[in-house]
Amino acid sequence: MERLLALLATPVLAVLPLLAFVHSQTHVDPHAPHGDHRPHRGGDVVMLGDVHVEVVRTDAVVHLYLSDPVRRPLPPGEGRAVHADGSSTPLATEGDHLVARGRAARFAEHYEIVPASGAPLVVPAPP
Amino acid sequence: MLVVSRERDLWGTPVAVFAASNLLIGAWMLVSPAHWYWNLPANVPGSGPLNEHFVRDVGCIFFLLGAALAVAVVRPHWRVPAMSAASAFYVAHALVHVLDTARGLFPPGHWRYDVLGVYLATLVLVLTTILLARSRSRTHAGS
Repeated sequence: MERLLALLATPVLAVLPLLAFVHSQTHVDPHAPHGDHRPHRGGDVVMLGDVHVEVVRTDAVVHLYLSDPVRRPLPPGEGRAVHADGSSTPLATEGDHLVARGRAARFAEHYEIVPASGAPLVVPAPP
Repeated sequence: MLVVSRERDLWGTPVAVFAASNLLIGAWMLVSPAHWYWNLPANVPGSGPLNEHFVRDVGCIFFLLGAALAVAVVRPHWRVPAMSAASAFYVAHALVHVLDTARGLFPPGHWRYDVLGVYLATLVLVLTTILLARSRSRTHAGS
């Protein structure tokens, strides 16, 4: 009996380290949109649930772009920059994205975004 | 030095196979994180963007677990501690999946992948470790 159990356990143990990393849609093409977490505008991409947020800092301005799991742009919704002292500054909407300027860009601890649909997002401020 | 006879060493092969798979994955993550990220047949990008530093961090765990298990193949008294450490890691990993599923980090339906690949596979590892420990206890009691 023990010999049989040892035999049965062997193939499971062989693939266990691989199974630990299996995620939905087994083995997509790395160049397919779902596997695309690369920055499209030279910023940093974070994924929060199913939403990608690309954060681009240029001088004293921070741009936040939202996109869905396959990187289709999402409407920006509303957002605010939250500072260390608890105060906040609203973000502006410019076309397809949100923008932080001045204090909101330089001293924000994080950004809170309420997309047009879906749960609120908390995005760390870029260094 | 081998302290169990080949005849009674039922667990040498499973431990060796588990050691090899952990060492392989760990070495791959340490040597080429980006290659591992894009080419492991598990859709790693489905979990988020590549962070090479974190891939190497996690690779250290797999490689060291694999190394301990490899030693345990030739030193059977290492087997229960090494398999227990591996079980603890994989159980903790499974709990992280439960947490992230509960808080909606994974897409809907993702739990179906986890039932077989994470939860059941981890259960097999834990049961194997328990059986191995019992086997070692019997071996010691009988010696």
